[in-house]
Amino acid sequence: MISRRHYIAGTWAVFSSVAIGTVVQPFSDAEAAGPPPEERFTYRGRRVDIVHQSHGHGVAHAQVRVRVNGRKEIHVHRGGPRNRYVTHALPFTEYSSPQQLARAVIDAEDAELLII
Amino acid sequence: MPVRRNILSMPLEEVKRFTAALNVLKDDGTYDAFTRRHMDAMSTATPAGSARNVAHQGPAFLPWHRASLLELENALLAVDPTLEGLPYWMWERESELNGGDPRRSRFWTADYVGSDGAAESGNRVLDGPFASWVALLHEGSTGSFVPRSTPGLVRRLGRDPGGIRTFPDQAQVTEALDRYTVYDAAPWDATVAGFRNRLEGWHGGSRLHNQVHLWVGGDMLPGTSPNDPVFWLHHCNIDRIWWAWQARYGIVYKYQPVSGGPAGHNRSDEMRHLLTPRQVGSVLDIRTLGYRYA
Ligand SMILES: [Cu+2]
Repeated sequence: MISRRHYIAGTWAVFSSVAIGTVVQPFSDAEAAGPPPEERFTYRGRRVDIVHQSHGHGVAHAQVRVRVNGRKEIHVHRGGPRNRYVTHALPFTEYSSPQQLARAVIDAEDAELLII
Repeated sequence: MPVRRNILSMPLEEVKRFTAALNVLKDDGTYDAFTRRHMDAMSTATPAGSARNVAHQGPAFLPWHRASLLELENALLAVDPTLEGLPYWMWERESELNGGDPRRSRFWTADYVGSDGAAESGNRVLDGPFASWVALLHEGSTGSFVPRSTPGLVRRLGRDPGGIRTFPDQAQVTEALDRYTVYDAAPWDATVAGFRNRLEGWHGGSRLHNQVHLWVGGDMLPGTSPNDPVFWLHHCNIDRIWWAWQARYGIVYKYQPVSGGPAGHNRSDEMRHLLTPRQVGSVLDIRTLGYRYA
């Protein structure tokens, strides 16, 4: 598990120079099928890091952490009606992926609805 | 005994006294404490590390908000004892009454809660009784609350990119009341096909309670959603719908779980982050709480 994740992260790093700075792809069902590897992207001037921390029960029990600019953190949890992603920052909907959740919370900060 | 009425059926003079009392609570800080408690409840997972919190995504969703409504109603009546009770906003009738467009309701005018946010002014509500209100923002990384730097609530009716365009109607409410005869069931979360979860709006797609939050948008989107007084009018209607369900299927004994559920959600558990801690079971029968719906 660990070595596979490192492999994926390493593979991802090769392409990261292409991925960073490009438009973030909208959610697709493939994204919700399982946690993607560690990922970094930029959105509205923030650097967002998505980190999956496995607890040894496989991806379904992996915990996700979303960091913004390396210092701040967005609350995220696996849950909701389809076991996707929820946050108490924007608690009345579920998100298909941690990326989509992070973008929604950043949008809300820019709309002055909350502070990350 | 407080009588809770449809705000759109109340004389305007009474609506004005209600919004004036809310302004007194806003000015003396009482109101913002309600917003803080709601966010604190939202941030208190049960059990720790789960998506469920002490007031949402679980069976106590309806009792917790009923208790909170009662506390706000008591605070309003202390300001103005001539008020009849907390009004409700019967949102399920708005599409039908307004040619399919709930934004055209007189609810969204200066006489009631003020208009939609002005797109050219950062979606701020510029008129009505709450035009000068400063919202309390929650800072997630520190857990602190910070007043927004400028006054004006944010609303984006049916047009918030973080929300939803569709609005619940009477058919949705009727279906929830007719088809969901079980209050709640294990695992007591957002996946259950029970009445609480249907009314909260998780089961079967974004519905009812969640859908109204998402449709109003702006300040109704975050955990600090009581910032907009529409929150209380919305939740008073949710409570009225729950009472209709209880009157039909059973009041106290239909509540589940009695025991064995997540802490804060069992019938004899204490609900946290209210002004006065109360047991779930103590708010199930509104006749013992001393208010009724008209
Ligand atoms: Cu709530």
